[in-house]
Amino acid sequence: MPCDELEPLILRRLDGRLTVEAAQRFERHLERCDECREAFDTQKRVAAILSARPEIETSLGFTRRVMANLETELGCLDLLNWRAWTFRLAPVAAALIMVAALEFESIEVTESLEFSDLVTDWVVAQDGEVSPLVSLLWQEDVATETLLEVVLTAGPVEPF
Amino acid sequence: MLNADRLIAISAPRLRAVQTGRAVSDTSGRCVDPDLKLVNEAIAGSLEAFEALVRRYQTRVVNYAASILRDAGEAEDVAQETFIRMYRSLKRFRGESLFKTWLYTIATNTARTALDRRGRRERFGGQSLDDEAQSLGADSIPSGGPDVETTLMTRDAIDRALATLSCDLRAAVILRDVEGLDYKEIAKVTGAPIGTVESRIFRARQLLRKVLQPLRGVHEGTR
Repeated sequence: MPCDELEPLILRRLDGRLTVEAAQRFERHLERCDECREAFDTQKRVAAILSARPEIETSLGFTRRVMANLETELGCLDLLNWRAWTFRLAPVAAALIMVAALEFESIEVTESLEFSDLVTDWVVAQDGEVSPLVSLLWQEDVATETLLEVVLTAGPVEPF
Repeated sequence: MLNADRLIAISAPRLRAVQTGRAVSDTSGRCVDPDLKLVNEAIAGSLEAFEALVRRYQTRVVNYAASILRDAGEAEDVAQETFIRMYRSLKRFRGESLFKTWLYTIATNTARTALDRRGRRERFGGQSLDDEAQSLGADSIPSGGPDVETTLMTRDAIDRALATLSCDLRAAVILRDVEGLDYKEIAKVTGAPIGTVESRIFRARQLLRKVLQPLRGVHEGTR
């Protein structure tokens, strides 16, 4: 039995995985081969030392921390679950749609007002002439405050 | 999916096997995973079953991670992450291997990721080897026994010896000699062929021989 084939046999012998015949052949080889016998002893001793390695205890509250982390994890997973949160937000979305629909209806029942109409009403007088007050806009000696007051106080019944 | 017919009631004589996560055989001689009932319940959404699995394996996972990382605090972090990853992946567990084997696979990958992270941190942060090689904290060792000091020294010496090995050799020999997995299970956990696993374990023990030499007396004296 050549020594280089003995490595797997040493492991199997340690684990008791050799047949009776193979174990006998193995033992006969060990009696003649110092190197293999030393390797076998080393394997046995190191395995024994490692298997006796003292365990450390987990810190108190380890399980509690795992469960707390898991709850956080589940919370995050819940956020990522679009079905869950879209279902939860469905009533809010429905309410928003209803409000938007009502607003749309209220706009439709009132007379539509275009910006251009407002400007026309503001600038042009009833007889088609430009309001004399509008001409103030082109007068250089009129103060800004005066113009602002004119615009703000002009009513729809009596423009300027 | 998991085979429901593989479920068996765990009898009292099998208690030790269940506690250690070792496979047991049913009346027909089939190998049955002692964790399968809890796993199935956890998959069905039982947090109590998940918690029971955590309690059953927390010490082993923390110790395994500590062997790989040589840092008790980091080992607990890795163990925490391992269990969270386990929960995320539970529905993908098909029962083709023991739950314990599957859990060690997750722990191994998580520990390797932590080692890579630490490596990057040290490369860029300039942490010294002495800092890295901090021994396991004294508060992590069970106290109160008459031989606490010996326990502390033994464990520290073993961990220092293990730290001299490459990650692959270390994982293989720890899974075999400390955690008690068989070669087939180790092959699954590490993703290496059985022949490679055997070779790694053999080489690891040969390399550890000189480093562990001082412990021979202690070990033999305690037996």
